Amino acid sequence: MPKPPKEYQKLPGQGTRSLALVVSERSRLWLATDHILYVVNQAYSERYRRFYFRDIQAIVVCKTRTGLITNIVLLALIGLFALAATGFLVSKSNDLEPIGGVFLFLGFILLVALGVNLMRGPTCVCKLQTAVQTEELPSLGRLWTARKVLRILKPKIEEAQGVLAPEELAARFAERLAAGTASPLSPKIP
Amino acid sequence: MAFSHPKCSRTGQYLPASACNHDGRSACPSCGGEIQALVFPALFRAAETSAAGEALTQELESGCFYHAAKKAVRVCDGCGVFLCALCDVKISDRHLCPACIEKGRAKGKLKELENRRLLYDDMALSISFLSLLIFCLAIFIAPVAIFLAVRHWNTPCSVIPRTRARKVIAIVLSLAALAGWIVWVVYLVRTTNF
Repeated sequence: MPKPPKEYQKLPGQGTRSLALVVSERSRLWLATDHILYVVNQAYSERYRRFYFRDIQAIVVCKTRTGLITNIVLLALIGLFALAATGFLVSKSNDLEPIGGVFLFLGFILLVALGVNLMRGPTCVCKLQTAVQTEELPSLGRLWTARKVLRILKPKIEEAQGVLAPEELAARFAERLAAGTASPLSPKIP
Repeated sequence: MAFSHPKCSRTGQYLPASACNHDGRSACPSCGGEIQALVFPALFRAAETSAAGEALTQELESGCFYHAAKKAVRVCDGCGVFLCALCDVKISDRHLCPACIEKGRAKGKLKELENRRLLYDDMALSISFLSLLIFCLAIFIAPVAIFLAVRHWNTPCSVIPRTRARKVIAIVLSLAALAGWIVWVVYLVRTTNF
């Protein structure tokens, strides 16, 4: 007998929010037939938010510099630890060699962290807009993951709402601005 | 609610139409950062307003269970009472009355309205690990894990379907901790010279 289809399908990505270097929240997105389920895991409880496809107005993904800054800081620390390790290891004192070993070990750990950060790709911020809220989705904090998820969600949302071509979008924006029912654009935007 | 342009997630500046709904990447006009903005027809849809319900005009028409003077337009899928347009609440594919919604929410029968759950299986598993770590107190800690796992054996722990594996592992680990503690105490008693 064929298995019934799963109610929820896991979407790529997992987000964490930390408080004082302790992971306090983990978040994930799950896909259902007519909505996205946003699950936030806090200690021994879960909170849920449902975003129905028919209600999603916009999803915006912006690349950030957090990943790049993290890479630079890690590289600088690796360089420092490597220098320190070299200094201690080439010294002729037997007492200082273990300290050199510790710096080498720490440098190796940071190198692994750098490798993991590079493999995960650039960071981004993803926000989902509905009529009543704009919610940040921490589980889509990596650009490659966010793009993958958008490729999954876009056809589902368009199936529920229809397709909005860029030309039609421009016309509707202009119509709303002219009618005075739209929020004013920033003066910086031409 | 007023129409609101989508904004750049980094700077909060509004995005023009030219930056949205491209298959490729765009640059945000305000910060220059790489963005991908998807906009859907819901952005331009007028907010739905609920109907007030029509008044009864003919004697043979059925009235709403909660508003006798209003015309019934639907039957509640939960309890079968007649409902006017005001009382009819659509949840997923079902039409329910306010009483059924409140009852369903209180008893946890309407999954669509659930926004929080306690994870008793995770609690039991963590406590069972704790009983192994603080071995000398396993006699006090392990029974708590077993109680949680057994008491909430049938309680659904997450909206995302899960097996009972965590509860089973918690019980097994707690029993192992208890057995180990008993063996340790017996060994201590036998080897202690009074």
